[in-house]
Amino acid sequence: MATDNTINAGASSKIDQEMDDRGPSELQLAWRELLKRPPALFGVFVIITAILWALVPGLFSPHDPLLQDLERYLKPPGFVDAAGNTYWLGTDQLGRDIVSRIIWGSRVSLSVGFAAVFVSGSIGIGLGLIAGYFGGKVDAVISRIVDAVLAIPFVLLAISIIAILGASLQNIVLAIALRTWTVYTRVVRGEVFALKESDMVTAARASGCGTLRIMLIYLLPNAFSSCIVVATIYLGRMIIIESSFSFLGMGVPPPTPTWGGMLAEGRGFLDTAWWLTLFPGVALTVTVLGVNLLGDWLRDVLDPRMKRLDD
Amino acid sequence: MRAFIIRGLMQSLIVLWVVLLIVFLMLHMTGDPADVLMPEEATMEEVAEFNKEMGFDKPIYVQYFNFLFGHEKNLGVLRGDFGDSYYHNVPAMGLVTERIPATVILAVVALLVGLVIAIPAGILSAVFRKTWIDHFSSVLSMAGQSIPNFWLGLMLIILFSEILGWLPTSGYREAKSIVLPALAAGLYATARIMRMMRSTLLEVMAQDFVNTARSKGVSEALVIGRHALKNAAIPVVTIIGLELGGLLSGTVVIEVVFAWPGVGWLVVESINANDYPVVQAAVALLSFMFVGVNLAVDILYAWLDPRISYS
Repeated sequence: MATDNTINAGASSKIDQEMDDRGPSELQLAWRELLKRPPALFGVFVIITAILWALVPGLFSPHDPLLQDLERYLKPPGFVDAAGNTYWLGTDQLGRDIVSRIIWGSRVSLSVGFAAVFVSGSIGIGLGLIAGYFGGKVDAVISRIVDAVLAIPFVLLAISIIAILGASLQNIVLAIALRTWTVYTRVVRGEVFALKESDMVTAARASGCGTLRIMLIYLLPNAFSSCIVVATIYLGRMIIIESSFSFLGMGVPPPTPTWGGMLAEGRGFLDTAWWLTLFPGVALTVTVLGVNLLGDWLRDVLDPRMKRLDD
Repeated sequence: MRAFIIRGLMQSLIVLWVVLLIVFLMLHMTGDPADVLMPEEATMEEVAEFNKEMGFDKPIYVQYFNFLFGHEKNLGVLRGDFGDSYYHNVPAMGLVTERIPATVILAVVALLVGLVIAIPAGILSAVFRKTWIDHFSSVLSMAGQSIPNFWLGLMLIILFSEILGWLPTSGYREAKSIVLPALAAGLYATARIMRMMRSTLLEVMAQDFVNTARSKGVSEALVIGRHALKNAAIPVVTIIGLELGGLLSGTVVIEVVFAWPGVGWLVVESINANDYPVVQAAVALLSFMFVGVNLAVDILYAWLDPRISYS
């Protein structure tokens, strides 16, 4: 993966230089397109905010997310303590500040989300390239494995695996990726099937390109835009899945704040302290909504075939 | 048709075999089942004693054979015997089958609620494309795909149980206690079926025979009702079947939120109690149902659409 990215980055920066003399670059064009679509722009804003929160939570978080103080437990939003500190979204059952916990909680959600997309994407794209390029028996075997994986009830299996291996960031990503690689395999396989008989690939083969080179330089970049679309759509789902694992107590263990874990703790106070469950859920929903809105737009821009009559 | 069904059955059997293999390997994933099952402070002698008693000291292929076909008092999983629950000391399978009706009822009601909303909304937004009806339902469907269902469940409890006091927060005995869990569980399926209904209907309505019918002077209501809907039914029926399969195994978190006594809740309880025979039995049985529903959908699909070749 890393090598493909450097190859792509190298190629596109060269193109950018050439494009500067000719007019707006692809990036500039994409930005102009984005401005025309407010929901997608909102999505970009949400994702950038969430990423900033996850990278440098200390800059945004008004209090220590782990600092307990039973003098101020379960205080409603807007509570001001004796020292004059304001708790905008209230405090939880241990007196911890909800705003700070939400900001720090973005770390787990985003890192699991991105890592799961990266791991499942790498496996899935690799197998998809192999299945599509070689076809025949290789393809049959890979496709049957995909069918089998899709027929296994995923959530139950994933939580059992996490329970046995232990709840850590790494195992959660593994359990999620176990299933989601199949999506990429299907998409890439289809794209490669369509491309491998094209003149471009025939010419490359005739000029002596090796199999790996054809896959990485000719086939992968052409299948990549569909993969970006799938990855964005699945990023939202990964984030929801992570939060439901955390909610069930199978996520990153406390005291690390996670949105799902906050919801699980708040569940005991539904009748007295609604702010414990409302705000982390809003953060979760808005993040996923942002990702989905961006995904919808990317699908329309990058992959008109997937769009069909959807708009 | 018969060959098609036989092939589907064979594929399903292979999938189930893979599932059973995973279920068997579950306890061996950490390398040593005693790691998972025994308390950390157990002495070497206790672990050795335990391994001997459970048969974990035998070679793994012997254990696998015994797991499938049974040994001593155990009948083997092929005859539905997953051993006794460590916690309740009764057959694990019995505990799981007791909980099946609750899960099935929840899945079916959730799907029905989803259909009642999704089918009319999908048809209306296709017919009144690009009007406020269409925009409104696309916002709903976007929300449905972005809101985590268990959080929606918590919010429904706060609104309808705690504030308004109309519906119970949990339970199983009264008919009205299913309303909130079904709404929350059906959310995602509703959004997906709505989208599918809309895009399929739009696709069908763009076809020649619909234009022909229109040009013959058939009324718009009849065009949609008779010609278009009939042809849009096939993909929609398929996705409904797939959603039912997903709901059967995917309501774990909802069951926990509403203390709904289904298989999902049982699995979470059993994982927390280290009661692995029950977890294994539940994963195997739900996979069995899931694969069965998928096979039924495939056959139904082939039966509905004469263009599908059976070879």
